[in-house]
Amino acid sequence: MEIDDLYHEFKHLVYNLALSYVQNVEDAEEITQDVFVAIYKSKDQFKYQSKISTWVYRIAVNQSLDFIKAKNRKKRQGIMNAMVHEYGSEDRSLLTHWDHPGVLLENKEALKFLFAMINRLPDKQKTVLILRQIEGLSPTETAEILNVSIKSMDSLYQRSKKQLAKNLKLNEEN
Amino acid sequence: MKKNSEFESLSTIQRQYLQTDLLPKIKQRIAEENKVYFSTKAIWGIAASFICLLTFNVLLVKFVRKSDMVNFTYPMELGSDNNLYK
Repeated sequence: MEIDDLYHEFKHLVYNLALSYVQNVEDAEEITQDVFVAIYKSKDQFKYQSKISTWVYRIAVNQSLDFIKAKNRKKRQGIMNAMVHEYGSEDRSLLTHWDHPGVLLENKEALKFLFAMINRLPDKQKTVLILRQIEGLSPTETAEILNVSIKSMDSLYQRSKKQLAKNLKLNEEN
Repeated sequence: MKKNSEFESLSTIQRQYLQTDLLPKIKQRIAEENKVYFSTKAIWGIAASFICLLTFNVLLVKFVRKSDMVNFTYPMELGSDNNLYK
């Protein structure tokens, strides 16, 4: 299992999943790099008990969530620094811009709003929604990636849809 | 956006192809991480050897030397007739 082969086989899968989490090309490319470095580091631990794609998905999900957490942490620090030192000196590279290349122009505003609501969901709910709805994975594959039973995954999926509908309703009212 | 169509609109997102070749960057990062990994390993190796050597010396002084000293006779302590330093 060489890193070159893994990269050529799974680069689009990883990139598209990362795009669903961060919705811009630069961050998605950075996550893709992180994922393949993590794959290289843990390739000896892969025991061939699941499909390689499941294992790659699992690493990609974890790396995407870690990336978002790290970026939010940096953003918070940046805001604090800007407050302490000089107002408006926040690092512009930390400001996330929304530019999902897979979204059609006529849906752009609607999907931007929808993704803003998805990003507010807890990590697991967000992940299950991305895997089932955007990636179009089966319940079995999604449950395997999340390392839970199909029943738990399904209840998580229902909860995430309910929460998202609630978030949308609240924001439409305001 | 109507609530009924909100989930369906997620399915309209088109799959993207990665345009940039990230493999050289990935390989560079792996090489850098390997370098750090091996230098860290080397530092730990040197530290471990030093600790082992120190422990060995302490044990040597505490046990081996002590038992040696019981039967050890310095030339100076020999009878005056055989004193080599005279």
